[in-house]
Amino acid sequence: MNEPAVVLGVIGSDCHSVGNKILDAFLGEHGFRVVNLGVMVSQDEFIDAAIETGAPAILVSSLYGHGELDCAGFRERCIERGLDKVILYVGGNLVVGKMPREVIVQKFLAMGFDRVFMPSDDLEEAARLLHADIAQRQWRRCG
Amino acid sequence: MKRVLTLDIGSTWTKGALVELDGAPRCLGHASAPTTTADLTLGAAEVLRRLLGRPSTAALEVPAEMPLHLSSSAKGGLAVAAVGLVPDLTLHAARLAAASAGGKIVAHFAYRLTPENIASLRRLAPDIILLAGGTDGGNEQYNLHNARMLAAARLPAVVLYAGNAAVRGAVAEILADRELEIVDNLMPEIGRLAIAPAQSRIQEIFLRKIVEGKGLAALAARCASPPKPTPRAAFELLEAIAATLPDWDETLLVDIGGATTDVYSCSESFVGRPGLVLRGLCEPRLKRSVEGDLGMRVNARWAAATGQAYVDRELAGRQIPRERFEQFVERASAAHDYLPRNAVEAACDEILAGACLYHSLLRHAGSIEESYTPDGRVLVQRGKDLRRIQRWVGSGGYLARRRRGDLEHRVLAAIRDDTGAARLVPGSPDYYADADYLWPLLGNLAADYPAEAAQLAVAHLVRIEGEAATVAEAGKRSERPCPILGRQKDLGTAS
Ligand code: B12
Repeated sequence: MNEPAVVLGVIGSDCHSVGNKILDAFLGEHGFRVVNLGVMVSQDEFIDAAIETGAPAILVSSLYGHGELDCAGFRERCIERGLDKVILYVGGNLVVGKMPREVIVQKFLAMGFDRVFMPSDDLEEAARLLHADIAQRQWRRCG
Repeated sequence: MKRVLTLDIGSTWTKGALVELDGAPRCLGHASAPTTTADLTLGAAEVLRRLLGRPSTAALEVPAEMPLHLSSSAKGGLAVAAVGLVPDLTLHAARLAAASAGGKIVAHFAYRLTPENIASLRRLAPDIILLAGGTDGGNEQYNLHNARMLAAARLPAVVLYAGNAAVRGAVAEILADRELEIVDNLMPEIGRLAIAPAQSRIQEIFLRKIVEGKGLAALAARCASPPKPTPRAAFELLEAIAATLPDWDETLLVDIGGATTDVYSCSESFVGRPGLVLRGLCEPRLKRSVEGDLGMRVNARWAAATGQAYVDRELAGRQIPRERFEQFVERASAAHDYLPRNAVEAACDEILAGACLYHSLLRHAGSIEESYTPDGRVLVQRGKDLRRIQRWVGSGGYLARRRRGDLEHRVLAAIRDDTGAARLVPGSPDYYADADYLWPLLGNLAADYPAEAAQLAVAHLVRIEGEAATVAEAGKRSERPCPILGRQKDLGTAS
């Protein structure tokens, strides 16, 4: 019960389920209590689950190329619904076709995501960052 | 020879039946008398005397060899307020638990309780406040806040905590000097419903507090099984019917009362197949919902307002002026036993019933929508699929009284037209009426004698055909063996 909860899911109408299952297992083995919502998850479903579980972080996947559209307004919606401090990560094939990494990252950072991952990124590193971000947020909350 | 007595004390009528269980079960008689609010045992005794053929001066004695079974919705029934966190998650689960325990949900609140919420709780005076929120190990802040609000409010209700297990101790401390009960979380993980513990505890509280508090203790002492809230009896009957009669395992029960409309469904909630996915909670196979704003008398105004679009269309179709309808609604909401005085009022009554049906079904049924993904169409279901329902039973008031007509059929068609088939309402089931008001009464027997109760319940239904066909049925009805003792002209608005 002391492991931090993280909400995981694939956003929008995206059905790619393989990466989601891998992430679920991987994060479970790396010290997180994973609340996996599976594929085709709406913004509100992510937020509902984060409120009920008290999860400090939401991990959004988008594989089919419509990530930008599906993720638009996510941060604002979190704030609107009272999750003003939640950590937001996003990863996958976030846009259609080739685009320089920095451009993609900037796009999603500007949308209010805290960190942005490509399929080629190291998951170990992602898990480490996530622990650190959560620890820092928790510290902020108590302080 | 095994004979049992069953009684239901409603808000306006107390009804009873004498049932023989040996061999082919039979209903030997049924009777009713006005509910005596000041002392509920008086009306109950009167009904029992009629059932047993005793003069009304006789003292009440229940023969020892005839076990008594009891349900009650008198004095406001079992009033529950549901408090949850997210409307679609723990609040939804809390409402399902309260409704399936037979509660009348008088209010429901999400997120943080506000002073305004507390004020309405004080006004509505629920018997139980079901406090849910957070998965186990999940959100704590909201529950602690809500517990503090309830502690400060010092309401007379029992608080039943069924939220995040991690803060049970803290909640118990905050509410230490209030009447508090604690059960397992009704949603321990996201999407997993575990409403049974909360549901059975609500019934225990009903027994311990409500039966006592509402003057049923003397009767309860004579009962062979624990008394239940009336809706719970109906719920258990539907369960027994589905379990023992293979043809009746996809059944809908609708009860339009004076104050509320109850919908009970027994049907698989979600049947997956390629191209169809479920979002949100998977609802239980047996589900009850109760709509506090949809009723034929006390809440006629609300029903007319909620159903305005439906009402306007029906009035136009039947060329009834709006003023006539409004006048009828005024009269109906002023008198709980109001009966239509002429053909136009009868039509207005039917339109009002249609509005209650329309909206209660719309809320009970789930929805389906197409989602176009880049590689084709996927169907997304939310809530409960009622399309497999084969039989539809109307009980209570309007639906039980009526012997013919195609109201349900027309309402279903209207819903399908209006929503473009996006609502998962029944297709074209067979329609029945619980003409002798036996369903809750038999529900009292369902836990102890499921097969007999189910068999009798179905045997006493009257099939409702379309406008033309029902004369033959009406003829058949009078030949049935069950004598009607002391039956009142209208039992309609008992809710
Ligand atoms: C299998 C597959 C399918 C299967 C999916 C079956 C299933 N049940 O999952 C099917 C055939 C259904 C399918 C359909 C489509 N697919 Co497809 N599919 C693939 C394929 C070949 C493999 C995906 C996969 O499973 N990868 C393996 C997993 C382990 O990797 P992953 O999904 O990337 O996830 C990892 C990382 O991205 C990362 N990650 C993901 N999310 C996050 C989040 C965070 C926070 C972090 C830290 C990390 C992280 O961790 C994951 C685990 O290691 C890819 C191509 C490819 N090689 O990736 C195309 C691909 C994803 N599909 C694509 C497309 C376009 C489609 C379709 C739109 C159209 C089509 N005609 O194919 C539809 C969309 C359907 C829908 N509604 O979603 C494109 C997407 C293009 C884009 N984004 O620009 C791809 C890239 C192929 C391509 N090169 O064109 N697809």
